[in-house]
Amino acid sequence: MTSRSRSDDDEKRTEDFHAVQNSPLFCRPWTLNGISPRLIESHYENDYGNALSSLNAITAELEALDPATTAAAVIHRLKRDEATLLNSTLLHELYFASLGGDGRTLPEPMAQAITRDFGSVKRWRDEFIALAYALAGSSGWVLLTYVPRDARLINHTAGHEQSLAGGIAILALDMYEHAYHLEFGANPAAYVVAFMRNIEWGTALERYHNAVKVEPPPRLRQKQFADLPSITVEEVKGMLESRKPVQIIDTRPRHYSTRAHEIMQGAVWRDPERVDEWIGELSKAGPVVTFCVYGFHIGCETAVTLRKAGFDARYMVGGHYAWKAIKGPLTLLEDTSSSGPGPIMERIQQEEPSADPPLE
Amino acid sequence: MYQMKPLTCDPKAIKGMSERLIVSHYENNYGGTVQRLNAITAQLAELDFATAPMFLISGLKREELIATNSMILHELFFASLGEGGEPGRALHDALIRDFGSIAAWLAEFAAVGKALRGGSAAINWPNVARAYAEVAQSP
Repeated sequence: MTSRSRSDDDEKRTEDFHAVQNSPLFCRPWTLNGISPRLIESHYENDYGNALSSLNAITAELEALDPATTAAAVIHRLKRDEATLLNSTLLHELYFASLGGDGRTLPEPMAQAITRDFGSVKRWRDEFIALAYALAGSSGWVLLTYVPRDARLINHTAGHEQSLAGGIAILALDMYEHAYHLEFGANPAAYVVAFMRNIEWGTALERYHNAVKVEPPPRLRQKQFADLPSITVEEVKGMLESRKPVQIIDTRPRHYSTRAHEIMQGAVWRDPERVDEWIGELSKAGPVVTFCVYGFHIGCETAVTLRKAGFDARYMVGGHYAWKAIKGPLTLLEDTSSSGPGPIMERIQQEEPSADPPLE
Repeated sequence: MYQMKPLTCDPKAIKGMSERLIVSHYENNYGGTVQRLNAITAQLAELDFATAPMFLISGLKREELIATNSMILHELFFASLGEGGEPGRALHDALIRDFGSIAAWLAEFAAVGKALRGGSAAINWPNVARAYAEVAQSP
């Protein structure tokens, strides 16, 4: 794979070496509208070809090293170059596969997905083109990427050395100078217009269909509380801001609360060991939210107890620290010894009887 | 609007890292990132891309990418922590296919971590590597 001389040992290593195979040119250069075959040929042969052969040289070098004994700086440089060249290879393949259509006809499912995530196809197009123009003075990629975490499409720019974590790019526009200077010289805007006129939406849709098969990262699973209704910190914040009546009980363990000095605003602390003593303060007319430090056990167990007693109780996912992480308002936790009728009922009684449907 | 993910590891149960370290990392770094990302997204939604100044577009989009990556990678980091032990069968087989052996993968992963150093001083990679190698070798 590489031309440099290697010892017999090294030769043996290269047999297992994971070479990345060349991918043939995906678009038919003679069919493109306003982009000449010469530009595509040079781009494919020189830029894509160089990225691929450099990648394979680096990979061979890396595989011959013992990472446990190699200097950290060497590993760092090689791994950085490997990621950059692999990205460059993959994005060039995507770029050539993005070309070959008329750019105008979006298949219906593609137009629907873009409208769902950008508001309209026009808005998507304006954003994509604006990102390309903004790169004209420098260089980089403009990408339309599917993000499994949120099951949505996003436009973004990136260098070879960047990617969007867990994202799957389905359309790529190369805004490095090598992609256009041969033909468009100092007029990248004309190149962007030509690219938009040649987008092959059919295969973009195919890539989108493949991308949406990727499941979002698995959620936190708590088998013992799988059937217990929960509520997110954002939802609770929304309820408080819209002044929906809700009884929020902080059930962090006593040993924890005695050394804590702050509490979620709108919550009252009650000892999770003594539910019987304070359950009478709660009203069945409104929902109850319980939480503990991180949301793993105690808040859940308290919610189970309250549900058994007939309350519309659920636990707040992530607990006290998830509330803090969204910068939810806090107040001073002064006294955790109180067990008399607290403000739980009062808060309910101050509000008009809720016209909203109860939480599901 | 990006939603926060709850902490997926129990901070009290992570060997070699204190509860305080994990909780502060989650609350301040991760929480701050999601807040920032939502602020950036809100600004981008207000833009008219056809007329907005380019430096504004490229600045906001760059920050959006950085914050999105930081959010997703932090979530993966917290989800990567747990009780230790061995990778499951399918992952075990995949690591052997692509790296030759579990030990080879671990040596490379640890070496890359060590080479980055900055920001990960609290993680004692050699110790993690040793502990993992011992687990991996035990029958």
